[in-house]
Amino acid sequence: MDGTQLLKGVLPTAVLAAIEQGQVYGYGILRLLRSAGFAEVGDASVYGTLQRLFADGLVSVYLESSERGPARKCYLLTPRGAAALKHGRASWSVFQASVDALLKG
Amino acid sequence: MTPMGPMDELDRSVATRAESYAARVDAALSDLPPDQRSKLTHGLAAHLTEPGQGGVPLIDELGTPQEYAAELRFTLPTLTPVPVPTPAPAPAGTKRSTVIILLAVGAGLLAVLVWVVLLVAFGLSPTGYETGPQPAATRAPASAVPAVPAPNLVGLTEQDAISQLNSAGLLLGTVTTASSGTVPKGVVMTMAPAAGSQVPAGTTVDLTVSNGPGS
Repeated sequence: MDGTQLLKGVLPTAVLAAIEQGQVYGYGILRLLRSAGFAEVGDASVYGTLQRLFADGLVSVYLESSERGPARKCYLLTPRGAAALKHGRASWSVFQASVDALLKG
Repeated sequence: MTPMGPMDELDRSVATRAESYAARVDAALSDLPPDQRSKLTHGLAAHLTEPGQGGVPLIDELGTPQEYAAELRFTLPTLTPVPVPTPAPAPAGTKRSTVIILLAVGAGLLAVLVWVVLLVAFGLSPTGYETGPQPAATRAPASAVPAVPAPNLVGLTEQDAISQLNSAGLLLGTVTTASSGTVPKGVVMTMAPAAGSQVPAGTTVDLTVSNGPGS
């Protein structure tokens, strides 16, 4: 199975989880995903997913001014985002169990 | 006017390169509808000025704008819905339909599983063919069918023999005739299984019946 295709479905939930775990900046989210084993994930995946989450009202964005260098965007879960993460965790569980059962053969 | 320090120079350089890079990403997505495209690239230039993973500016860690655009495109939903300008006050956002679909799939799989178990329990295979080598009448194991002693039919007329068999719960099998100088015509000479042997009810009993002397 192509890892990229598999990740695509779960990426929004994964990004929400990363934010919940305290990774509020784009590069922190990317680093967390990479350290989880998704070596092929690039900034574009994270950025594009964050844009979608924002458009759907699941994350809110704050601009943090910085002494050294440009302002940084800080991402936080909205209440709907927290609910979406909860649903995402549950649906991943169901999905995983179904695939495991099918592949057991 | 304050003199520009080394850090400001770096920022301007990064900002310029980020603008240029974002413009080329936008160009690589020119096939997309304008509102969808701007949703993707709207804050990209600013985003690219942020620090990257390795502590250097993000812009310096990236591949080509075309590669970035391709990966960015990949994050679009597969079935692109009509763009909604403001989020509607619906519960749980985009995840709800995914949960419903997955629960339906899970329930469907469960239903199939239950159906298979029930079919197997009732002695059928899921394909509809009856399992097991025996026909329905004798499908039950031998111990569950009453055993009866075969009544002695030798010396009875064929008609009486059949009566006896039926009373005992046994069935007439093959009847063979044979000539006999001693046994009258129409009388049973031999039986199989033998008289007195314990046989399951419904067993067929074969008879040899005399057809008198000569052929």
